Amino acid sequence: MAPAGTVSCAAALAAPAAAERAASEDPREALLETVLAHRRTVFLICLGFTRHRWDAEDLAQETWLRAQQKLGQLRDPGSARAWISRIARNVCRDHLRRMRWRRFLLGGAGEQAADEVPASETPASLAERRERWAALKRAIERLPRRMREVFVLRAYGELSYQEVADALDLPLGTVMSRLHRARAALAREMEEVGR
Amino acid sequence: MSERMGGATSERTREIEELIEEEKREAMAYFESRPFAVGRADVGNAAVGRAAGRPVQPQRFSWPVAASVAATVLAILAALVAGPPASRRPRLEVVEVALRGASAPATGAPEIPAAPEIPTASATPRASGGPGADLAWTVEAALWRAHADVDAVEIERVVASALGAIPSAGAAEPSRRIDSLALQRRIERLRGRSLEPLLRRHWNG
Repeated sequence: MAPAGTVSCAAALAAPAAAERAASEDPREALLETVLAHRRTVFLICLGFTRHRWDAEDLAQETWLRAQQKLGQLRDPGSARAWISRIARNVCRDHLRRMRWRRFLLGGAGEQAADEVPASETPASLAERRERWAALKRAIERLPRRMREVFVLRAYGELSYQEVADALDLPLGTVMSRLHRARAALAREMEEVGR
Repeated sequence: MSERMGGATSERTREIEELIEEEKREAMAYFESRPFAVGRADVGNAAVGRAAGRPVQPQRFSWPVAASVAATVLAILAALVAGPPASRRPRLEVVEVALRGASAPATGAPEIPAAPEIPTASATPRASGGPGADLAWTVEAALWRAHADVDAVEIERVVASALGAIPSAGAAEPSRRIDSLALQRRIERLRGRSLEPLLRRHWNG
């Protein structure tokens, strides 16, 4: 049995019902539940930035802790997804900054290994698949930071263009052009590797 | 040609999307199996993963070691900036040497300027005669020699005040003695308050 205050993520993902239930009890609880309904988004954004599920899990937790502290700043529950995505982006940015220093100080030691290739792979395609994953990881890391943020929020966090614009405080047109450029750059990189 | 390139690009874009979708599916399967507790600082799953045999290179970095190295470097830098302590200490020993009647300054100290003519106004103690008056002259001259540009009026005031207990000629012998403790205190004050900054300015140019 799960400890008090702990639920499985699968159960928690069915959050809208919980949000409705909590809404009748405490406004703050309701707001928290609304925010928590986006835990999948947060985890995937963190995954997009770190490309590692364990790190993503830690950063998602960090995001929730920060979100709880700043819950009073969320004025419009309708923009909760963009709001929490922005916090996740900031948490990941801090993490990547720390990792950069760490890599600089250690010369690569302490760097975490990439996630394993999915177990569903057949042995024949395993090596090639692994190579493609690594190439994509490198290509995303090489994207300029502004492009990478837009791409991760859209491709991993599954945010709409408007939500990405809200989360990053950018005009919609800028989001679209950065996303286009990011996709083109990634495609070029992958094409280079494929040759 | 551009069509061919466009085709290749969209193929790559599709491949990227597939790879990302696959990655997300795998990661979500993991995430959904995990306990989730909001508001508890139970972070550290990466550490748990490492303990469970996740392939991570050994970490050689240690914060205590880094802090210790940083402290050592800072201490060395501070010592380099400060220089040898003696060279920066105000050379008050010169005054002490002068008061003891030495003709030369302490080792390493700059040469003491020659004593100027004692102002006539301060010659009153000598006129009173006696050993106390001689000592007063000695003190005043020493102070002059130690530091020529100390305000003469200030020196006169301090010395006269220190020797204030000296009675006029003809007084009983015991009362002619200088209150050496009072003199000491005066000199200490002079050293601590007015003479020190003056000395600093004088010797540091």
